[in-house]
Amino acid sequence: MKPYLISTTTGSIPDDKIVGRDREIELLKDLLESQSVVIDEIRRMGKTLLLKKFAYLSVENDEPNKALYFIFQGTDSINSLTDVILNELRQKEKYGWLKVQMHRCSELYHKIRGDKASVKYQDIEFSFALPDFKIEWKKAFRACIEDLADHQLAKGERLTLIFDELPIMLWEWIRTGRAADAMAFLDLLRDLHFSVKNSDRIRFIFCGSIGMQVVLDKLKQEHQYTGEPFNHMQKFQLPPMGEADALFLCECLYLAHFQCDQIASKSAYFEDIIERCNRLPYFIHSVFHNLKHNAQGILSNPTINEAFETLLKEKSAASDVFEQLHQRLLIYYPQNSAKLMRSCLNLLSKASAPMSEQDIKTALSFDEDDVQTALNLLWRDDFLHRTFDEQENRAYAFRYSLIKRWWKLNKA
Amino acid sequence: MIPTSDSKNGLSTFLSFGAKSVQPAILEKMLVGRLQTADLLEQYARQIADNGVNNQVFIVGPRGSGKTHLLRVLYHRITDLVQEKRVIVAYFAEEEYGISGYLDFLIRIINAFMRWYDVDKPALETQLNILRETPESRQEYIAEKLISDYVGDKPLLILSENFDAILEALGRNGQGKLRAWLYRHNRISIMATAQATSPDLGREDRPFYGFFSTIKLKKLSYEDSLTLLTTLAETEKNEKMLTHLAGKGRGQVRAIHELVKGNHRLLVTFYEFLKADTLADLSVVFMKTMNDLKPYYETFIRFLPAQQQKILHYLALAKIPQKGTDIGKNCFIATASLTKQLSELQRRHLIDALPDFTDKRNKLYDVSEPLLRIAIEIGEQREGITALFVDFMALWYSHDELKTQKAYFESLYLVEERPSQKQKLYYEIYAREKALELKTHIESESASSILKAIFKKLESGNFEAAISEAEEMPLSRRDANYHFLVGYTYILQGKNVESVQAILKAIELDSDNSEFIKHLGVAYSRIGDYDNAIEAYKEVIQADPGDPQTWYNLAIALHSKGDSIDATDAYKKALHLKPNFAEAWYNLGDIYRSKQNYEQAIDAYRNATELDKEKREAWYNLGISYNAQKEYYGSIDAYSKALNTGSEASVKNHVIWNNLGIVYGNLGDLNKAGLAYTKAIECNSNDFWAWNNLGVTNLSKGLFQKAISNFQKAHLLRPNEHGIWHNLGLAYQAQRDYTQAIMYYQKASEIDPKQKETNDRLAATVIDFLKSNKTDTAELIDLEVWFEGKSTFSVLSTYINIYRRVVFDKEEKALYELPKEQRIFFEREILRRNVE
Ligand SMILES: Nc1ncnc2c1ncn2[C@@H]1O[C@H](COP(=O)(O)OP(=O)(O)OP(=O)(O)O)[C@@H](O)[C@H]1O
Ligand SMILES: [Mg+2]
Repeated sequence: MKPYLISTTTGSIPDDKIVGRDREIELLKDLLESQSVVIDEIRRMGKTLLLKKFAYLSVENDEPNKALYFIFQGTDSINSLTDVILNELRQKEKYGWLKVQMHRCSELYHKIRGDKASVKYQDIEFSFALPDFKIEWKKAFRACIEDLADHQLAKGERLTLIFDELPIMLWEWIRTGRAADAMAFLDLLRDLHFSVKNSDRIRFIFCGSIGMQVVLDKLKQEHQYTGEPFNHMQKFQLPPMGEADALFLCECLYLAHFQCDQIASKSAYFEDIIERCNRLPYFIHSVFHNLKHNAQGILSNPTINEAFETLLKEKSAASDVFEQLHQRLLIYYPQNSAKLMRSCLNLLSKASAPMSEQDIKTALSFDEDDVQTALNLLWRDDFLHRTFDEQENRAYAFRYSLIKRWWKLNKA
Repeated sequence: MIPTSDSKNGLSTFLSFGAKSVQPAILEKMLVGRLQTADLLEQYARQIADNGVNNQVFIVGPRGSGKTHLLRVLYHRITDLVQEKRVIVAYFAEEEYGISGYLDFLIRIINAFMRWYDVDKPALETQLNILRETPESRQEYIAEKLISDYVGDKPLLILSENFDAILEALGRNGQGKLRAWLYRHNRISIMATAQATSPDLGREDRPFYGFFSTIKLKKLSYEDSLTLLTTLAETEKNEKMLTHLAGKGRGQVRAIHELVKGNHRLLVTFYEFLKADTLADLSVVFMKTMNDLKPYYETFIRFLPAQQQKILHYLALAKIPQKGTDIGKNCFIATASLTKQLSELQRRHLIDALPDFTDKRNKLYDVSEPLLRIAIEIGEQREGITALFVDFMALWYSHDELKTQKAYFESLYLVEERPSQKQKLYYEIYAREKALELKTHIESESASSILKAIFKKLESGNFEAAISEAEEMPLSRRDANYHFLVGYTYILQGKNVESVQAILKAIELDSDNSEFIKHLGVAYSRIGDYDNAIEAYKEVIQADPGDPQTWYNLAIALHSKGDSIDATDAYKKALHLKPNFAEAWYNLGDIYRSKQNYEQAIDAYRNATELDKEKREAWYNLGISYNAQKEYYGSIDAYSKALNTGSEASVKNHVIWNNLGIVYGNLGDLNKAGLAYTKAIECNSNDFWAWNNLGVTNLSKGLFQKAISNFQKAHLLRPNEHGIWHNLGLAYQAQRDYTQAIMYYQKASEIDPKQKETNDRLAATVIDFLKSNKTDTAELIDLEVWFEGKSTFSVLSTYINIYRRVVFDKEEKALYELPKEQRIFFEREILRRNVE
């Protein structure tokens, strides 16, 4: 494909401009053949754009198995959740490819909510006593999924529903005192999988940055939740971009009025940039932004070095993104374990190679079992990379060297 | 002589009201220092239209740094895109207030459409009416849809000022909705300005975390300032000013530039300063400038809630930082809301919070910008202008500048004849004098608060922060004690070279303080300059021979230098003065031990351990010394004590266990030795010596397999250690596994060819091997090749060769290549023939 201009923005990118990720999309499709998928990955790593491209291409190429993208951020109640889903479905139906037999679904829905047609009834949702509404709401949701599933079966196809930012939505519900709703919704999701006829015609992708596990832990610890709603789902770990994708991304960004001091060095510069960014697209964008903003868009060895210096040492949106590991410790974990986790990260940021669990224990003056638990959590929540040394001992290292370097410079 | 500005066309508006209502052409011309940013933003906007991409940009700059100006210029530059509707723009102007949530935000977009696209106004009005009739729960959805329908497949660009305030008003939930909309809609861009980076963009659990690319507006450089002022003069067609700016006015520009700290708007206001002909007119111009600035500062005070205004006034008039409780009392604000208002004011960068050293739980508050304070004061001033002007000078001029100015006016005063002029000059002198007094006062205030800050940082162990606090100290306040404190901090920080320098400075200012010299010795000692260290300590001792610590330090320096005889004496002196000086006993023990004078070492260590039972190293070294004296039980006792004491500072448990193993080995107790080594390995599975020693123990016990696996572990840890190859050889030899044994001995010999023991063993094993009758040609040839040319093994090498030929090639006559006595040995011992 020929490179096309994209801007250095780190915000939203139109679906048709999202770069690369074909390999990851294929992987996802393979997984979806047999089960639903969970994606937990720290923030700004490219989850949303991958999923949006996946959904976009499935429609664009008129593939038999299509995917639909939903984003749940800011969805502050079960009502609005139902709204988000049904609005989106209706919209897609208008575009023609999605045929939902909305009988069961819309009948119920109208009874509960009152739509445009029933504006006269005014604020009709308030007339429902809460327990009633909850039952109705579940029925509506289930009916909708059943409708979809039946229709897919009739066509011999499968539909994937992508729920982006599901965990943060649940987290906010819990934070604002609606843990019960969160648990009800989780139970419903699990229940759908087992009890809806033809449920294998529908797949889900749950995606978010805080980790479904963190949400579940919270519910378990503070609200005696016992469900295991994701046991039947497969985890997909989002890798950094492949080399070809990352280079292509550079080519595209470069078209936004950049220059090289020596044009012959262009590909060497690109390689340098993508490797130093660990091929993480967000940071590639940020480096190009710095180059544009501080060096008139001219790529040369000194300007690239400076762009990285700025990235790692100055306060900016990108440096905030480096902060995230640190912030997550404070936001999502109890204080004392956060402290221990921070010590682990400090230690590892200074190690030149993966450190064995034993060495970490020896180096830290904490209870050894606690250290082991902390390391395990850090690994589970994607802060760390775990390997085994020759003696099959567990060894840990930062997942990304770029973040490690930042941590060492700014935190340790 | 009060200078006035002749107000003409757009320029005077620009000077007094800022960028809001000025003609675009003038704005474009005044775009000094921001041209690049404007070009970049225009480029971004054109990309949105031409290349089908989005741009999310957040432009940050403090008050008066030209943000409104910049957005206005941008909007003007992209008029073509807006008019052709290639981009639909929603431009939120600065003075719009009152966003209360996400729905409001959406409605503001619709309002902006109505404002900028006249033709569509009626249709949009109708839509808004429908929206009003919609049930609340559906309104957001309908509003979003209304906007999407209006924009169609065109990109939407939202231009907004004060976006940080908007984000805050949206709250977490509203931000979440906005972001979700941006992803659902696909073609929305935002370019927004703000005074400060919003906390909502910097936290991991906030929707817009890391979403916007930030552009920080830089402060004007001196060159920018000069260009901007020149442009002003050009626009004003002020020839005199232009000449002035091209020549001697430059110095003044530099002064003003420093004064306004690179702030656009203030620079423009201080333009008037340049019209003052002499320094003597400065006070007049100053007042005028302040009066000009008043409305500017008032605009952003006016929009504050009443309580915040009250706080600002109170702080401005109080002049020095105030406690929260006092603010509350004097402004009649209850504690609960006071906290909120204070943090709100901090967020707006109007006040700063400073640590209060007298009470750690409290903070002190102060107005952030001196000019803001003075502007508020002007409104309240009763004592005339002098006090303010004095304040101003004390703030902005340095000590030396004020002195020079004062001297200058004094010289004028002396020669001036006219009484009125003389009076005027007297005022100038008086003002400088007062300013100097005030400055001295301010500096001493800040000096003592800096000292407190340094101590506080030292207490909390943050040495680096202590040093950077120290760098804030005004030069005039850096006395001997200050330099010493800095030097001392460097010692704590381990930066000993810097420490030497700092303490030398302290001594330069005060050569009598023995505390300084003592620490100089410490610092010298730390950088390895023992001669200078010794000299310093000796100087201190001469003045006060009764301080054991100094003797002790001297001893350490001597000791490190290698002068152990004098060091011993010095330690003894220290101990004479302070018999319970555990460290001294311990170090003395080390000296004796290094001289292999174990008996005395044992005494010294025992004293040390008696005084400080927790001293692990002392117990450990006592153990070593006992062992050397073959007092094994004493040694075992000492090591056990070491295991149970102290932190594992330098001697780790595994080292001690290992040594214990050695002692048990010396006692012949192989079982206990083995247990000790196993313990060592439990403590640290990477302890090479423990693995090796365990192997040796097992070997002695006849447990060959175990020994071999122990040695192999050790070998993995240090692959190039001669001894391990040798030990492996031993273990295999003991099992009569000749091939393996030979191979390991060979390796050992390769690593260190001079080890006689290895070479002898190797030779013996080869002989045994030959005798064993279990060889084959291939193996023999390998051996031949290996031994070939190694002079130590020349006889052996011949034996192998002959053996192969006789045994395998049946070349009996080869025997005769050996001299007789060797041949007899060979036939009898190796070929096991009966020879006479
Ligand atoms: N495939 C891609 N092509 C181009 N840019 C990309 C791609 N993937 C990621 N990026 C860059 O990284 C940024 C973040 O991507 P994205 O929004 O997908 O991350 P995310 O993991 O969903 O983040 P969050 O957890 O904050 O929702 C994008 O704005 C873009 O700058
Ligand atoms: Mg996302």
